[in-house]
Amino acid sequence: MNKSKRKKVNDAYLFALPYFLVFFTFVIALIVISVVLSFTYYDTINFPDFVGLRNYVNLFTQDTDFMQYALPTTIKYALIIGPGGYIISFLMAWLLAQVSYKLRTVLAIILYSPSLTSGVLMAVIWKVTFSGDTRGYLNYFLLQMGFINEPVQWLQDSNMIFGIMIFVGLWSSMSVGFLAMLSGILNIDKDLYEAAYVDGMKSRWQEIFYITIPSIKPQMLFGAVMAVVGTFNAAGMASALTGAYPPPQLAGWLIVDHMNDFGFSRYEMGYASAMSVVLLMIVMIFYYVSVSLFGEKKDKRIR
Amino acid sequence: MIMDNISSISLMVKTITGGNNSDTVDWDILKYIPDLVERLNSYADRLEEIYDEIDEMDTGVSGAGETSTLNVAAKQLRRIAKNPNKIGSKLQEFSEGSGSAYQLIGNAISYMMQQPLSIDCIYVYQDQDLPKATGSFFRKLWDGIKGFFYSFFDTRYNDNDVDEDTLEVWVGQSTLYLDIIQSMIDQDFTKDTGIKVKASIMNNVQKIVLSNATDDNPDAVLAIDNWNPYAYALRGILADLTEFDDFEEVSENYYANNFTPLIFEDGVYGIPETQSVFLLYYRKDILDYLDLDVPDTWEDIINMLPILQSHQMNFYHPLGGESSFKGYGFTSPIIYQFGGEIYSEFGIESTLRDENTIKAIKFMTDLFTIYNLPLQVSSFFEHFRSGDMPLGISTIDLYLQMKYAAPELSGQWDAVVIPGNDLDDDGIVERWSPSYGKASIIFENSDQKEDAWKLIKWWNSTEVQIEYMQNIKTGLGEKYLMLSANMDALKQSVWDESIKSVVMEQAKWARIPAVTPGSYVVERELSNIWNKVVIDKENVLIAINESVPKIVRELSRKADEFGYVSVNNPDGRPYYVPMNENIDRWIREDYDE
Repeated sequence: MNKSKRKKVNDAYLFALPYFLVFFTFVIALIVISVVLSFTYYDTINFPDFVGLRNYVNLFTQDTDFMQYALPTTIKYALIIGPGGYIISFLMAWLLAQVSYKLRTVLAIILYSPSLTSGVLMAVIWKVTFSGDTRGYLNYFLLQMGFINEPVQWLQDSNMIFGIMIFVGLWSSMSVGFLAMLSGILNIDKDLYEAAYVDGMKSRWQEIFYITIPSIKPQMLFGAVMAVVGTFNAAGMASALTGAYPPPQLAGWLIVDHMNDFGFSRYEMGYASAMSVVLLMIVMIFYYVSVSLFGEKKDKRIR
Repeated sequence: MIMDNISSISLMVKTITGGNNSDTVDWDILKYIPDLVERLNSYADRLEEIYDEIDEMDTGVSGAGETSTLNVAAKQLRRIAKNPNKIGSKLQEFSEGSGSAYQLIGNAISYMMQQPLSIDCIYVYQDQDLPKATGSFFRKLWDGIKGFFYSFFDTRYNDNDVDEDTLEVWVGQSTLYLDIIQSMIDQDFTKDTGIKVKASIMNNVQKIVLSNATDDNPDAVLAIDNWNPYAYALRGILADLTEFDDFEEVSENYYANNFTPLIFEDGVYGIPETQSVFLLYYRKDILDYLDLDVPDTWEDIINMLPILQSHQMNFYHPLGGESSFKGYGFTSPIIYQFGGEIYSEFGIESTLRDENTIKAIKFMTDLFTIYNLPLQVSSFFEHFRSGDMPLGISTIDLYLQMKYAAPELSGQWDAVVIPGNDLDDDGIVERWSPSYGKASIIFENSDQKEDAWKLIKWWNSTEVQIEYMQNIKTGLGEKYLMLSANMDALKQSVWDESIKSVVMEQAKWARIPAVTPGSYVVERELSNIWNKVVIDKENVLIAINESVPKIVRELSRKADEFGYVSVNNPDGRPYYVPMNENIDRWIREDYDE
């Protein structure tokens, strides 16, 4: 009895092995390397030198660009795009669930495609739309209508770049989380709605809050996690829009941009690793926040 | 003939309407150009006549696509003639833009002038059927499949599997150039020296750092952008080329300033291959119409701006280009032309607070705040072509683009050296401009450094560079030509004589800001200063004062990293910054301190 039980456990480990191997090589090992490198000076060419906590001390006490631009911009961006894109994703998914099958498929592809192709569309649509040239779409339109007398420098004005980034970010925020929520809503048992109406539910609002949202909680959690991770890992958007590296006056400069800059332009990999560890911490904090907001009791055990 | 007339009518209309192309304003154009309708109709008649004549020549097809644009242009002219007072809002159809009558005629002319004939094979036959000129569908499909699988065995992308004594070389160029380079090496270099060379594509410079970490970097790299090698030299993975005895034999073919970004401490870590130049392009027809001379100095430009702008035209400076980042390529020439400097000679500190530099920064922002140059131009080519920016500074690429993509304007525009300043009143206008290009480098850990040096010497020699440009022109076409940094080679190259003399003249004024540890921060802050002053309307001196502490902090942080003299470390090693005055110290052997 005892022996056979142990054997069962071993079999289970064997089945988990492929996943564990992949997870270890591509996730755990990299995080460990990154943490180790964050305590070194490493110029990507010569062997790393151990420097203790210097990178972390410098990050929080010396690096004004990080504290003044990268960190606040990232948090602002994440707090707007994360919940904003999340709410839009849910609303769109709910609206799509109301229309007929064929129309839904077409609309879902249309809504989902920006998140896949944002890099290309950025160049094709947004750069032309917001171009500071008199022939940029938006400027041309406003000039023709007589709202402005000379072209607005949408992509050179450091005060506007962040706003445009938010706009483009929201537009491309309907990604995997949106698809998960859509399929979640479509899978809700219709009987639940009917039962609720019998019990005295009066409006579509009540339907959303009492039936739809509670029924798709797992998908909501997935969407929230994807939104948090996605927004914190965003990079290069301001540069892609303005065609400038770095963007004017570091407008829209995110932590990952700052990290790439130190890692690849300034050859300070150790310092960049320290930044990535800090970023990992921030993402984990926001992850726990979203788990406690949307997770079931059993999910909370992850903590 | 017709095109000249169209262009002059268009300019007249623009003078009358002041460039206002809104169709809600009623203009009485006929009052100013009474014969407009007759003129337009006569042009249309003439175009249709020409079209019929050409159509008769070609018996096979009627209405060939190449000439049918003439018909379309004639129709467009008639449509405008029907409503002549609306011509102001119809300029898109008339003379501007890619579908205008003007452009359509130009396209037809260029089609008719060049009718390429290519021959695959010649059959001599008697009484038997000729094979079909195009293969069947399945034949094409099969060849496509074969081509797809052959691509896996393409050695050009495969940088492994070379035997010990083969020189391994990466090339930062596309396959098109690589094929030419490899075949030239095989035919000449390997035959003469017996050194086997394997060239492969380097599609990303990051590859150098990664391959160095695993110790399988190549022996040398050709055509790497010349701002890259410094970072490698600073960290000790490149070979100092001045250690080869005959370094000067090579370097004497170049203007010394082309070496600036390749210099680190006492060494020179690369040989320039190509260079770039900025030229001033202008539209002859428009300057003639406005009765303006080609400008020679910045003062001339400032003086002609009111006339241009009163005709709704403007001058283009690359600072108002598409990118919001104003790099050294755009900021440094003005600083040098005003006698400013970017770094001080000894130690590492910024000189942005020097009088001349401040004057230069003030000028480059005044151009946009006071003189109203356009702040962001997506494509100068389009504006230059349509004539609303008849004057502007651009690279050699615009020459090729205009020559091939705007044939309707041929003879209507030209390029000259860029405007500058005559600081010391000696009659010589200083026209400094950066000549960023590509370079060749050798790795320190290569065990065939002598062979690699032979290759680089051979590759950058005058004869080989002339032959290379020749091969590009015949093999790929003139559009792919680049400017060799080797001045003797450039002088005898296949570039059109007219543009070559201008380029040679401008190349004398090559001057690239040095690269130093942390120098990127100076470039970035210059861009930020420009942005703050021009977009946020900040005061120039305040913007500079905000940036200098940032620059000093980053420069001294980087100096500390490598142990040079800095604020915190006065006993560090001194760092000499290469500049125009002292560049010969590195490049010429007989330099006298």
